[in-house]
Amino acid sequence: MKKSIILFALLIWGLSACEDLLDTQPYHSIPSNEAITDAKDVARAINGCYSAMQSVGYYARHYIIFGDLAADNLRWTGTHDGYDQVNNNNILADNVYVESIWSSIYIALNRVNNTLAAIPGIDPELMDDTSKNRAMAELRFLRALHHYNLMRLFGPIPIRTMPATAADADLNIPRESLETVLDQVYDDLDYAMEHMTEQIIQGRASKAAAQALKARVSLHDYFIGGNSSRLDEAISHASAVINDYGLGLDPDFANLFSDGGSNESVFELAFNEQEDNRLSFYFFPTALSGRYEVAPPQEFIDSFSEDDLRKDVSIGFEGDDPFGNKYTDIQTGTDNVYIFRLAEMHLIRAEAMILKEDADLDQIREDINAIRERAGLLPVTTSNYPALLQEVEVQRQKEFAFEGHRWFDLVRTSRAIEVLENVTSENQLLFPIPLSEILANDHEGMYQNEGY
Amino acid sequence: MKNEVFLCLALLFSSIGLFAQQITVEGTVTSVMEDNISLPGVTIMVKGTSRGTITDMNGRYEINVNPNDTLEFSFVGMVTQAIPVEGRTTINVGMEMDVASLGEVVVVGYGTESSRLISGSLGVVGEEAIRDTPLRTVDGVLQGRSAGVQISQNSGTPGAGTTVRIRGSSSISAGNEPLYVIDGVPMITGDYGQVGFSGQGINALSDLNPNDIESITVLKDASAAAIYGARATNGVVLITTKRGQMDVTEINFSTSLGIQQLENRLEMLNAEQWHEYRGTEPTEAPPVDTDWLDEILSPAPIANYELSARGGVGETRFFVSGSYFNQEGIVLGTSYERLNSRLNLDHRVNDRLEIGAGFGVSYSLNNRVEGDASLNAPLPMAISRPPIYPIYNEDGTYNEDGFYANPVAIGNEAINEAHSYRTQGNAFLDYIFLKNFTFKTKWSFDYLSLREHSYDPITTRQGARSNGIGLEAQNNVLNLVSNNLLQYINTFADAHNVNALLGYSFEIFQRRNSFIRGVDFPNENFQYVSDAATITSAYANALDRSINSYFGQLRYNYNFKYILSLSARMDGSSKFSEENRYGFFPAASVAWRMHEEAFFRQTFDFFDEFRLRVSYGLTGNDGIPDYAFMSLFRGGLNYMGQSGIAPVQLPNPDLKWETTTQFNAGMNFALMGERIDVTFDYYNNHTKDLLFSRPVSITSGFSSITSNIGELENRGVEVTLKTVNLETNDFQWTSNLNFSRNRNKVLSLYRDQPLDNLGRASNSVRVGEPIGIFYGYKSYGVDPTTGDIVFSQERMKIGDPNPDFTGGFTNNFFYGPFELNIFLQFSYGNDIYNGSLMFIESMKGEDNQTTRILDRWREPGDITYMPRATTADPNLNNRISSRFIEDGSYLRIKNLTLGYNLSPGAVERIGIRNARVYVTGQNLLTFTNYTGMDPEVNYAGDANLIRGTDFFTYPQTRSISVGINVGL
Repeated sequence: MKKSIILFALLIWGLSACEDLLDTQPYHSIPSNEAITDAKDVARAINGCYSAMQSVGYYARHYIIFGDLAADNLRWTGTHDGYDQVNNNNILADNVYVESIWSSIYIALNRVNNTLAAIPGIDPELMDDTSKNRAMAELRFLRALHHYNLMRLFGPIPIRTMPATAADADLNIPRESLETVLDQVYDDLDYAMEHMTEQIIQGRASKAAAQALKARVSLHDYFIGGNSSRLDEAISHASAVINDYGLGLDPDFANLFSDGGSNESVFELAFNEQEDNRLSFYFFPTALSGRYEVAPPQEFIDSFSEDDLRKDVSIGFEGDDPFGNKYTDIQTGTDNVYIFRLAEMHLIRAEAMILKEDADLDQIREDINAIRERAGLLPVTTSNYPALLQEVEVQRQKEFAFEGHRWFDLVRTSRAIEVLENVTSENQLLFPIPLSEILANDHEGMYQNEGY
Repeated sequence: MKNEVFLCLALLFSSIGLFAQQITVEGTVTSVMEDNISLPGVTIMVKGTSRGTITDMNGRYEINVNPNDTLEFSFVGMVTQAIPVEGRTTINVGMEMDVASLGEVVVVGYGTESSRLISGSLGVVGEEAIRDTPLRTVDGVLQGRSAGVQISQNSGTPGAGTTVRIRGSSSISAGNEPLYVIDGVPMITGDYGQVGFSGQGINALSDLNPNDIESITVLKDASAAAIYGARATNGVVLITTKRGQMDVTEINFSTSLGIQQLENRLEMLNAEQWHEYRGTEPTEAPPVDTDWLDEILSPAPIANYELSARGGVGETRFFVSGSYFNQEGIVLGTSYERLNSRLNLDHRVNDRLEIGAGFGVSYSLNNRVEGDASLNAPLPMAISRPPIYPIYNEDGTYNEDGFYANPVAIGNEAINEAHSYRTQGNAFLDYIFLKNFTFKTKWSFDYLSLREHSYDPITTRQGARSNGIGLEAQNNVLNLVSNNLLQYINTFADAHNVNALLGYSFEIFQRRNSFIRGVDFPNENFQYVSDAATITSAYANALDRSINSYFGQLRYNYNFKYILSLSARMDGSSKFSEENRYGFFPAASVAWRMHEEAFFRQTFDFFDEFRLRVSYGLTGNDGIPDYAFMSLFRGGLNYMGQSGIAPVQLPNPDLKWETTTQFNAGMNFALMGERIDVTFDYYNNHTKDLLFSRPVSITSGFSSITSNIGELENRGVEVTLKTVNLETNDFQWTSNLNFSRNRNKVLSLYRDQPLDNLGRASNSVRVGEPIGIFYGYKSYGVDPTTGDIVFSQERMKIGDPNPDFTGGFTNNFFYGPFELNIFLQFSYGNDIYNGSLMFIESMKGEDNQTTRILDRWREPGDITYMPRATTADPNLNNRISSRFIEDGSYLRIKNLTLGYNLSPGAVERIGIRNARVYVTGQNLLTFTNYTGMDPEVNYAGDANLIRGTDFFTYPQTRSISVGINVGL
């Protein structure tokens, strides 16, 4: 009798020895410390960084559309209340789309920082210093782009240069002044320009992109800090992009929005069937299977002159309904999104020179007319700086319609209140910090923008 | 035994007038089980008279009788004995335990127990409640039947899921659904669909045929549930299927046929009203006026056929069943059908060894349409699409003008099929290897294969965009369970009853799923992805998970009077890091059956039963994502077709179980010959270490980290009142009322930061408030001068989806061969956020509107509840505010059944054991102030925090069925 008790006790004990049962491993992820150990892993991680930019909060939708919707290039015609708020420039702090922008960009930043942090520790045998520097340069360019993109929408922002850990001190960080953010952007860009590849590869950032960003930021910085040396930097970097990389304005404006691969592209984000965006879905009218969330207002359509070739390329009509027509792949959403194209460099250079009241009026007019003539318009001849400045603004509005520039242009030049009917207060020039960030981040340096 | 005061008085008077020929009988009454200790308070009656006495403190009695009288000795819980006097003057009696008086045997964790010996809190639903429900799902059967078990249908989608809350929500981000255990084995539950249906999820529980179920026990407190350890916090639902019986084979056939229809439809604008509202004119004559709801809604049939047999030959018993259930949906394009079969076998090899097995297989096909929030769902489209568009163009194609897609096209053309293939099997062996010692082992598997096929042809708007969209999804889920028990049952000294158990169990869960999506098909005859020009998405995933458990239980009672139950379980889960892998969950309970005490009986002799219960224990909840404790990079984050990797989460190595301390105090009592039976419970459950995806500064690149943060409590009372109201020879009226009130309160959160903006109604979790309150702007009504709504400056609590109380009330009437059953269900004090109104009373665009907007503000001075129509809406009248909050209280005639039992004499002649015909109605009438289609609603399915929100949700239907049950 005792024997059988012992027997069964042993049996139960034996069954319970299945301790390793609990040591299951995930199939679709690997521990972080094993993730980036050689050059190939770095390449994979950089792909992950670009992938973050394909999110709907960023270049796949909201960030691009809001750049026009908050201004006068688009109006709201759909069902998302959050889009309506942006259209009215009356945004609530709990706007989910604004939160989506904020989180998408910080996710992108975190991926960059994780990769950057892992690279120095990689065995030199598995990745040499040149490759490391080049990879880090590309990543630091992306970091500069993300910080700047946040700053121009939200104003002072928290800066992230290291991977975050679960520690509170690391999680809750303050907003930094515009100057501090710009210093970080310049620091990253200077490193990027020193080490990035000069070869332009479609879909990837190269030194030209870094210089283009430097030009864009420098021009903006002039408006913030009033330091005219920033204009010189904008001019020189814009010139470098125009002259040094074999790029050229595409003779056919329509070609820019057909199949991609234009020689005008400095840096575009690539999309394909599996990594798609739904821009065309948001622009296209319902009869063309879109959801028609946004559409160009009549005043904007009317502002194009008869000869302007860009009108028909940018704006389509379905019956009486006008729609943004730069993103056209409704079926699979593979339209690439320009982050920098050469036309902007001409207009940046022209604007900076006008602001400097540079005597080289021919050069200024040449840059503006390069854009005008490609659009089928007659060249400008005026020598009046304010008129030229106005012309740059107009050309930027039409040239980059639906590419997410207009709002930032009007904010940069402090013209938003004058131009936009719904904008009556300085407070509206910055978007609200998402409510969720205000609630979660209890650093005293995290505060809401005025008026929200 | 019930009228002792009476008897004493009667005794006094009657004995005075008595005389002659009588003898005095005396003696002692003892208990046989308890070493013949004397029993005070035993009633002794002279049979056929009202004369009698009771025993004194020493168990002694004395009574004058005629020598040929018969004495009846009765005592609660003991077998009544009738002893002829036969001239004797001393009669000593030994009373024996009446096992039947301990009540019916109910299933509890890893065993069974007599209902009157239960010291914890549980609810039991028997076969009779299951029989007539036309909705053939297990959770549908449980609805409203048991106090403290709140079940809401999320929608009326055939085969859809429900929200089940036992004693409120115990968790914020971990699961809140109970653990389902079928025949002793945890089963696969939940929604494994991969094709998005926003809230109209499917439910693995639907694969079970309710008619195979013998009983359902809901374990509600820690003492009952803690034996299930880390998954017990939300309660445990024990499902026991029918098994064979000895010697006689019974065959049962039943069928029912019915029709369902919408209970309450929305009143939308017609074309004329719509044009008036938009300030437009019809472009065609006669003007188009399409009633889209009429076009997609129609009465739909529901049918059920079942055949089963149970019986036994020699030492072998069996139960076998087969059934077919078919439900058409009232919304175009929806239906559900299911085939089930079950075989349960038991065989006694010898006195020591019993073996058996059980198998259930099922196939179901759910034809769904996208739901709720989707722009490709028929119902929301039918509500929103203006009446001014025709269904068809002149050329016969579907008209797709306007913002909203043509719902008729979707309902007719789009295909969404979910095929569920389910097999459950178990085999067991029980071996008495020593006197009083039994070894029990049971091995089981539960396999679910869910195949989804979805196709939007070019004839739908969604399909047209991509020239046809096809999806194929496959989900294979396997759960293997091994239970091994060592049980010891013995009685010492005839009074100490011991039932002890030691067990080991392990579970292995494996999921493999794949998904592929293709677009651009040659034409609508090609439906499968092979014919698609472009594959836009494809993936295959794998997940393994396991649980390792040791547990023990001791149930003890002294003479069925004092009851003690102890249990403990140690659970290890792969969801936690090695350091925090095991959780320990003990529980204890005591009960005192006071009516067995002489002193109690002397004072309160009108109680047939009086039991006090107290329990205390710990339970756990592990309902969090796998591997949340690890720092991980994942793949699949590709760029330009090249693979990419990125960090997935903020790791938390300190992650551990969520534990709930549960206190329960309760009592049961029965009166008037058990015609009144009352169960009362009070509980206070305190959950700590809430598993919580707590928000972090998004600047970290993550919005949250899974952590153990926060506390909450659920306190409540539950009352169940069963009564026999009237009982005559041919008429009986019985009632069963259950009532529960739960107070949920969040006690702390991470830094007490609220969780905000959850879902479409802005549900919020805040310290000091119940989970999921509505938080937004308060609406003070329409300003008569502007037509805009006046809002509060700040957001505030504007509603609470948690009811003040809920319950069910059943009345059964039996009159001769007729029976009438009325089942009412109610919920009181819960708010509903009617999110549909943000569109259908937005007065912004072309969306069709409810007729209530005809009351809108039109000019200064108008006093109305409905603001002005404004496309720009600068005041944001449509923001999340109390404007859209409504009282969701309701009283619903959930079920009404009228049955007729054919007279046995008549049917036996044609070889039928019994036959019954009935007519039954479901959701016949609902009393509510809610203006939406159905107050029992939740668009977000069983989401924890997004609650009580209506968003174009498929409503439940009213159905009327006739049925017949025949027994052979």
